[in-house]
Amino acid sequence: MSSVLKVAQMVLGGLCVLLLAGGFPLAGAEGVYRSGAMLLLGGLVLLLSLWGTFRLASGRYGQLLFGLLFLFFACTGVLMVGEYGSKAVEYAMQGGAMWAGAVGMGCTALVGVVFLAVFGYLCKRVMNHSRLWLAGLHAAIALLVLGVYTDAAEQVRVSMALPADGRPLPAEVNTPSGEKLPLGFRLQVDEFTVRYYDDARYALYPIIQGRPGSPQAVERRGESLHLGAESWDVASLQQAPGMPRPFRLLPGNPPRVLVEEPGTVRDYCASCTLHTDYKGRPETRREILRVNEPIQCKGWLVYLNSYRAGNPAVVQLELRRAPGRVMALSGIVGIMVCTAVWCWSRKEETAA
Amino acid sequence: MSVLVYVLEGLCLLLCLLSAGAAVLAKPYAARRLFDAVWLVSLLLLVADGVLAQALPFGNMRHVLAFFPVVMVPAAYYLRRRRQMELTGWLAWASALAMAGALCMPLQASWRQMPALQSPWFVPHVTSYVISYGLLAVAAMLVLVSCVRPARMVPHVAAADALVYLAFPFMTFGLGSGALWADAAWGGYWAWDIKEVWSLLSWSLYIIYLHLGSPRRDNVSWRRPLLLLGFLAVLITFLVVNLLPKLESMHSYAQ
Repeated sequence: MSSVLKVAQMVLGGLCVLLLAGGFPLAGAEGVYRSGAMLLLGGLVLLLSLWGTFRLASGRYGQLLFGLLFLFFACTGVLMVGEYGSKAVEYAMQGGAMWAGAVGMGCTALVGVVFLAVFGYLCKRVMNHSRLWLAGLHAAIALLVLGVYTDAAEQVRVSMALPADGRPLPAEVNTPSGEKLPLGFRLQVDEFTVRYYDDARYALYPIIQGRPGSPQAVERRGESLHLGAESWDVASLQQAPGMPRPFRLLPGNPPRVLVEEPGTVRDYCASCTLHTDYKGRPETRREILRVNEPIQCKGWLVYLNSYRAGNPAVVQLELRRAPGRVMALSGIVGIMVCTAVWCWSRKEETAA
Repeated sequence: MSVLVYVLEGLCLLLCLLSAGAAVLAKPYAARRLFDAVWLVSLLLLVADGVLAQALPFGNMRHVLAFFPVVMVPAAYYLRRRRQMELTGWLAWASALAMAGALCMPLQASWRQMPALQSPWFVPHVTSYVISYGLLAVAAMLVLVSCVRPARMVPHVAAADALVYLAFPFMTFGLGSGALWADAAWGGYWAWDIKEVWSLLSWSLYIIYLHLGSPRRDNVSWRRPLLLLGFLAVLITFLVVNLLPKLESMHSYAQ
């Protein structure tokens, strides 16, 4: 075994020891992962990955460069299919005037398919040896480490709460380090919607001195609710302004209120208006902010993290600017693809 | 429905054990047919779990353990047809272990898919990890057996090596897709969550293994402890991190 391979194993072993050290005693010690030792090991991984890339691709640098470029475009095709294809389906499901948008998005998704087919084929033709894929894997690891280091130095994350009543986000945000950064856009949440699973629970609250006391759980059997010898129809619970859930007031001493408590949250989304500019001209567009689907604008990503129910509801947003994100994500995708092709083609070559 | 789930799990476990037993008794045809039956029963179990959860049933450990046979049977077919490796019995043992684990877990019939789990990454992320863990479990079993039967050491370690090369891309995909998903859901591709740390540790151990090169008689002994260590890390990632009650993890919904 070459000495560099042994060094690589030692560095990886050191990485494992540090990961193990940070993973204990219980919840993980983030200080270990942000320590100088980890930074140094990351730097060594970067250097060794670059060395591995050049060593493995020796004499075929052009092939590797073009192969990775084609792979990048093919992955962009996949991204286009996913992004625009899902939007096409979403618009088509809304029907009516949205059909034009659905067709447009569908056509863009088709361009993605063409990208995938053409550049995927070219990539396969150029990267015609398993060693090139292994070199690509090392290059992708180096790209990932570079992206992670860039983010570690430059990433900005700000958490903000925004009422869903049309009030806009401030034009600039305070970072945790005390710096003020302009956003370059104004975002307002016009409407907030929560959907629940059909597993609502029922509870009976005694009203003592105008305040709800400790609730008792009420059992639902078919279309009726039971608590001891008492029973009520589910249909007798009514909606009323100011009450978020159906309820029924039961007179007595003390009076009681039977409430349908919300089931498990299925999903929630915020209908937003985004005021920005495009090539110097003001632009306003409608966006739906969902969990798993951040909005991108002017280098910022806006995430919907959580919410607080109320009137109006308050949405918990996270704003993030990560200059190394594209590099890191490209590295991750490169690692996934190159590992798969190298591991599987290597065995087929061995078998052949 | 809950009773049906338990019956299907018990039946699946029984069929796995029968398939593994048939393989031990050198009756490969019976082992294969019984393993095919395992697949059908585990598919029914998947549907029953889905009906109970009103969503794709990959949300807790029992769901995931019950999903193992669904991917292990096609894996046995693939290994037999494409790699000329007859490992039906081994995969049946691994599936039996998973089903026994599933039977020990609480049913959690009220589990509901939370918003962060409603992502296109959910199914590929879980499936790829299940495939990789299943295959790596078989690799670890082969290594363990090679320790007690030294005469079969080289072929067993070579088979384990082939399984690692097959499983590792799935593990990488699981780790990478998790990072891409986290980037969309949690606002960052890496959060040093305890589950993430252990999955990176497992991945790194297998990366060290891959740096050993092809198995030869002179380097077989090095491979065995490394493979066992890697699988130990996989077990901790999958089981211990979720089962230890005091651990706070962003992946705690998987408990």
